[in-house]
Amino acid sequence: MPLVLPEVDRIQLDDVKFYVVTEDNIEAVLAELREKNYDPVIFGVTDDGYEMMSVNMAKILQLVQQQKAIIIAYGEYYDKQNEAVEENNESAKSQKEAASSLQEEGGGISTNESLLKRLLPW
Amino acid sequence: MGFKLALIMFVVMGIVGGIGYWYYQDTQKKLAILHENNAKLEVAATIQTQAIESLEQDIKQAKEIVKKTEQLFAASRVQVDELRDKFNKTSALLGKRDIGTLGQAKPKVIAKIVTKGTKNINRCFEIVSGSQLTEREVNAEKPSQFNSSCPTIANPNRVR
Repeated sequence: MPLVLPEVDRIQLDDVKFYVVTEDNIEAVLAELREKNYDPVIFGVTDDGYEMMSVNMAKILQLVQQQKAIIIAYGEYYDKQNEAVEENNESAKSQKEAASSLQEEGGGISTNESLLKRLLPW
Repeated sequence: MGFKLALIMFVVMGIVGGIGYWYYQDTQKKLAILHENNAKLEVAATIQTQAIESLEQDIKQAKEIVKKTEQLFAASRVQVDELRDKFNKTSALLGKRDIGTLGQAKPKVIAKIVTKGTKNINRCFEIVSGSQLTEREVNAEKPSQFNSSCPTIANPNRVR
């Protein structure tokens, strides 16, 4: 029986809104947050930090894609192996059947027939 | 005398005939066994040849799968390199791109861009988890329509 595993959960991610805060707009940003009923607080990263965070996300995506590729490759190999094994088994079975039927016929030579009949088959 | 000789001859002929008959029977039996063994050997040889062919086929298939997987790996690495290039792009006209300077100059625009970028990468994760591509993603052909975070998986019909 083939191994049938459940599929991974399909994720649905929530949107995240970014604010870019500078010396000039910090008051305006905080005011906007208050207006939208958010706590007037910003969890910030530097520009370099944002770059690293983005590249890190891309690396995680790369890893997920590679893992997925490996799982697909294993699945493909497993399917092809199963097909090959089945083909081979069937072929070996038919070969053995042919050999056993040949054996039942005494390898084409009957030792039970009378000497005269074997010497004069017609 | 003649009768005795004929009797002796008859006995001798009987013995010779008996030996001949036994020899014939024995040879036939041996022949049958040899024939049977030959058939078994032929079957064994055929099975072995098939096993070798199957192994060769298996190696060929494994190589193909490895090659395909390596290609997918390479495609996934390209995305990270492309993102790095986006942050460190240098043009003759504008010089080196610096997201910090750009953010200071145009905070709202940059906030919009990074929000969109984050939305795109989130969508990439949704797609690799098995989410179906939308019609818009499938039909995207121009760079402006692509998911720039992972066009290789989000936009299969993109024109390069």
